[in-house]
Amino acid sequence: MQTIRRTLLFLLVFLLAFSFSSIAEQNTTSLEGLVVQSEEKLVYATGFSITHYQSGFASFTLDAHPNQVFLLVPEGQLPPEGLSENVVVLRQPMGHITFNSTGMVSLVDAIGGLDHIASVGTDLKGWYLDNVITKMKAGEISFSGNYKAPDFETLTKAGVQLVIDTVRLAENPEVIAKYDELGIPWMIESSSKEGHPLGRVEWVKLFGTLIGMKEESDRYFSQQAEKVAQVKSADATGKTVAMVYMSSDGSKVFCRNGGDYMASMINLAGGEYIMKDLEPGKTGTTSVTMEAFYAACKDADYLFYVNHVQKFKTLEDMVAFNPLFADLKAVKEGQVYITSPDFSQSTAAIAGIIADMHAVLSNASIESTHALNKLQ
Amino acid sequence: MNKARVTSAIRFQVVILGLLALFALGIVLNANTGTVNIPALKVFDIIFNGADAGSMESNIIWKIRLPRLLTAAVLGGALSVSGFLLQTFFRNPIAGPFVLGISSGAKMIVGFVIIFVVGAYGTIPPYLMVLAAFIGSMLIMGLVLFFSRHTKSMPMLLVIGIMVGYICSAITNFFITFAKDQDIANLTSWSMGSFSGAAWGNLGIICAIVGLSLLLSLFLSKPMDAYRLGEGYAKSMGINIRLFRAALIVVSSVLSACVTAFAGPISFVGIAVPQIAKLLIKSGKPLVVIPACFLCGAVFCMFCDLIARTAFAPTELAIGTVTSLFGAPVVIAMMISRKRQRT
Repeated sequence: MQTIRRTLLFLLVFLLAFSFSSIAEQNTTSLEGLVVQSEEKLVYATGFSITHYQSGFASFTLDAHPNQVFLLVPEGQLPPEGLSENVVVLRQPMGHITFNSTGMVSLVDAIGGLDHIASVGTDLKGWYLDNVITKMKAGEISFSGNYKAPDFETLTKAGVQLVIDTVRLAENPEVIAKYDELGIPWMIESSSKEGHPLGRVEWVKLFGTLIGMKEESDRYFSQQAEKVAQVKSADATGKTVAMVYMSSDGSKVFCRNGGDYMASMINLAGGEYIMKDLEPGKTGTTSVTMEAFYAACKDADYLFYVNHVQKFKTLEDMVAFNPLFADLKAVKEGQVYITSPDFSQSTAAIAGIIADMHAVLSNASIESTHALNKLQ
Repeated sequence: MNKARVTSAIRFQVVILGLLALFALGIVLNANTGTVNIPALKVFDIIFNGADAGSMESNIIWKIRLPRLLTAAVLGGALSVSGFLLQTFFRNPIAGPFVLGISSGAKMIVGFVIIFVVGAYGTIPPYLMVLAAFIGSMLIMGLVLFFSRHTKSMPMLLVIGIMVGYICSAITNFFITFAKDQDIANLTSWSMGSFSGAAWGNLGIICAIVGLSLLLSLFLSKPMDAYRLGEGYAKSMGINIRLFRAALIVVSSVLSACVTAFAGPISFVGIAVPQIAKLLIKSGKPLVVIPACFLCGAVFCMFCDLIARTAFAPTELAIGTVTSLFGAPVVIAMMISRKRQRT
């Protein structure tokens, strides 16, 4: 009996050890043969990391799926042998990329890298970036289907080297499974989770490395950071700002969360986001009751209405849509600005938007800027 | 026989008084509860003495809470009566106001407006959304009326209504193919129902439509009573069945269209509340059930709306979520009890 017990115990320990060693093996990334040159220094972004190796190789990892390592192999070179299964090899030049993330396309556009994009996941009428519209009309960038239902045939035929999607892809595991089955590399960019606005802009470094435009992306980021630093160094305006939008039927009002990047933009611009206590640890928006919206925003000095659904032309339109607006201080004093159509779409415009916000908050007589149009 | 009548009359009066008391409680609770804490005495002062006019508290009471609770009450009552009319008409306890495809028709037209019209023009006046939902509902009502002329079978008409609903849903899904994510989110949000957009201007229109429809339904109560005893009996009492059928469909559809137009589709109120009302009154006579249904529906919706806007404040639950949570168990219990009675 004792012998049987000992044997069973031994077998159990052996099985456990075997399981742990398998798991450990899966989590270990083998990039033997590559000598690390430097780790990319990131100032604000937290969602990715880049390692540069000698001979021009680079690898990056993403918070959205940390178990995978993406290895960039320079043109004319071969990847090292014996790579683990979790290493995704991307061979440069990366000239056929599919972007399902409009914000990140704006960054690639800003550094002049649109030639590397083969297709996008938003059709022509959904774009506000002029260069993208031009290229789509010229047939240089095609629409390859919505992120939920991509056109796999087009992607396969075009020999797409990488699909870059947003965190929404994680909600569609069947699409990921299809990409794996077809051998199409994919990655999820989680820039939307960055709380600091410049954290979103800093993702330009990842894409610059990816498409071989590292110098341009470094230069671009420095310029944007400098722009924000200049605004930040100016005196705070002491003005409070509400930032909302409503559903088409006016029954739901959405306010930016206190931890959202737009709230941070207002603070960087020298203002104070009036709903800073609404989900301070989360990005995105929260739908609140009319009562909560009114109580929180009625005394805000400024109202920035996000141009998602309604495109009000006048204050009268706004009040006709929902009479509650008439009781807000910002509406009574005529300090209501509607955001530009590319406000949410263009990550590249963030620094400019912060500067515009600062201009508007510092000078109440400003009628409009690129990002903000005053409602009369 | 007289004793039974007297008992029935007393029971009816007790139930109505009880419902009125609950209605009053619903008003008090809704007026005093919300995201912003306003002392009860202040609420009383604001409503009855016009105190602090123009202040934040006064605006919250007069512009947000009061129109909302009254809208929930009137629309809840309307939906409940609509459900009762259809359950009597089809002799089916799970027939609801939306079984004839009314809400699917409304969603189809609202979907078209959100996806194509708002997309093209940027903004539309709020009454246009209401009108769109109303038009969609009335379109389906017209179709059902047309088919009701060509079939005498109630189950057939029910099936036709369901099929029409499926067609509308298919067309809506076709529109959604071309919609942006934001539009889909807006349409989904609308289809879950909400009293959040309630305003005094709309309440006036709602009261007019619902008031007139209720009056008509009370006029129909006698023919309905005869119809309950069989179509043959109703005919022998001189009732024009065709006209009666058309009138019933129109009144019920107008009531449910009104709710859908101003608050979106709200599930389960129309199915569950008439059952509750009949259980309380212990009578099926339309003349007594209709007022009981209205009050019951009003109370049910007011309390559901209170939960919807306070349970996870400042985030608001869709009213359909709360009414389904409370309404569905009632339907299940009713089905089980019906089965037990048969066996």
